[in-house]
Amino acid sequence: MRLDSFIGSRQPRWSELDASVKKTRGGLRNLEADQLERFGSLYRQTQSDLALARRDFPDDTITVYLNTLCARAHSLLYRGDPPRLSSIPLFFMEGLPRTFRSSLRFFGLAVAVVIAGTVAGWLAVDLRPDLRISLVPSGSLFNELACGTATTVPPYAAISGFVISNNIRVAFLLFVSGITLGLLTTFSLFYNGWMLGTLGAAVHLNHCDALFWSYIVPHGAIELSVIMIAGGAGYMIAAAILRPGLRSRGDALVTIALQARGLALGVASLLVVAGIFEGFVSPSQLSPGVKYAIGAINFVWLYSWLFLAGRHPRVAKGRLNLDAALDHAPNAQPT
Amino acid sequence: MVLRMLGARPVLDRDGFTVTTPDNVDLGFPTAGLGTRMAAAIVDHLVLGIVYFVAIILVSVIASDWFPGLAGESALLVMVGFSSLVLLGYFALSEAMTGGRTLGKMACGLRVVRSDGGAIGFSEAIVRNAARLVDYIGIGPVLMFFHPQSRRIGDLMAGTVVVRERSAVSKMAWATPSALPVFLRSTDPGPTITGVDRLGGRELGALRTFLSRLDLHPVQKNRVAGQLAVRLCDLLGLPPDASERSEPPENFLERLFLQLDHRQGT
Repeated sequence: MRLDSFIGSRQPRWSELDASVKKTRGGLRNLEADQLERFGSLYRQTQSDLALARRDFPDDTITVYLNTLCARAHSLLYRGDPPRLSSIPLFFMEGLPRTFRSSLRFFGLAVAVVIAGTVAGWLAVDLRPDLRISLVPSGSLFNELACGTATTVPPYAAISGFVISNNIRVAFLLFVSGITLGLLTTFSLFYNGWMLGTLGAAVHLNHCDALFWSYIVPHGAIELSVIMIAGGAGYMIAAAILRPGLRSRGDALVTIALQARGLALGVASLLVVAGIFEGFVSPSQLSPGVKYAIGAINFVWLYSWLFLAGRHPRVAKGRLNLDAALDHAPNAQPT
Repeated sequence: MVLRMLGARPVLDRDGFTVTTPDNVDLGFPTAGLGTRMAAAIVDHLVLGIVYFVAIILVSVIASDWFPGLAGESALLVMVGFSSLVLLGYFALSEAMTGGRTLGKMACGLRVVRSDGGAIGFSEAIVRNAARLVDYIGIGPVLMFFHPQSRRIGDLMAGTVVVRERSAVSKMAWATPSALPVFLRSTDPGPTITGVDRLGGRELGALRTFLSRLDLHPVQKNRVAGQLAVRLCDLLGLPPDASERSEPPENFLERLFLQLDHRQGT
């Protein structure tokens, strides 16, 4: 076939597809139903034109043009589900707790590392009490606590926003640093434990435990849990690289990263709650007993949500619940 | 350029990746290199920087005005604290909502796609931009330099690739989806050249490109024609004493083009 006639006979449909691609921009939802149908058929026709052009005119610019056109149309057609606001409640009520429970061993590892850091920090201060000022993390409040000069905790309300965003950043860092085979994750988790341990030991030496722990507990119950869950998500990524199973390392990494993403993103939003407690409850003048109670309540609702929510999937009205169908499939014996 | 085309691989295989569609057609995606992506990143950060600078000034002024207790500097601190979130939020949201583009990527003609060629969604946008926390440390650029598809850690984790949408060739092709006009001195194909069956579309394409170049200087044109004719004679397997070898090269090329074009037309 001659190039001129090839182009001449097919040009109209290419221009039509070209115009549709430009019109859709963000997504296909801007198209009417009949336009959408037309889009699919134009795409397939142009694709077969591309195959012909590859064979007959491999070096002509028309092949590059058709390739570019098809590539644009392809990425419009083949895409994941668009985000729906209505899927957010279901994610928090079922998806997140289930992902958490299915990756419990990684969470356990993160908890172990934090505890190891805490114990190490506590021992370090106990062994060399003279060095406690340099062992505890810097920060005026921390230093005052370590020296025993702090009598009250200053109100922190203005800093609440700063704390929230910083903690979210730390949670995301713990998650993505799993790519370093978990080394950076382990370091960060250990350091968080170390901070808690050295401070705890230092204030114990200064006999102002109540002041310190009543400051830490109300928000710490959530914050430290989130840090450990995000660390667990980081370990999931590390495990995907180290033990990819039957998939290639690259594929395993992508699958796990997209799965653990929900965990990190979901719990990071809890940090907003933790930050509010940190800004308004922890430094307040409430008695230590009340603050401990608030911390205990936070602990209980957090873990009862993580361990109990979404155990029995509800079948949404008028919608096929594939997860539920798959869950019950092995039990369904033919009668 | 014409000479190179004779032995060249298809344009898109040189730097890019191929996706086989469900209809079993290969689509080539040209990947963006380190330089272009850095340029796009500079544009993005510049825009964000200006917006943020203005916002910080406004917030500090308003905060010290309305809440005298809350000094301007603590408002500043809050803004600085939020900066990394604003940064990640800007990249993630704009990529998720525009099908893989930010302002900088639009300026440089880049787009993020999944490695199966599909548009990226919210999940991919979050993961690849959260990974900036690690990539910014310096791992990203180094990895992009060595990776054949210039992927950084965020791309590896989210399974995405950044592709060029506006390369020099595709820009030309977008504008003119038509056959190149060919300028010939005569339309007489002359006696059949032996061994013409050995040549195919690739050689025809090279001839078409050469013959469409009106702008070449006559001396230049003659020289290129001579080189092209020798290569083609060798490909045709013509003996050293064949009449085609002593023919004026441009004449020979025109005849060869007409014969090849005619053969493809039938």
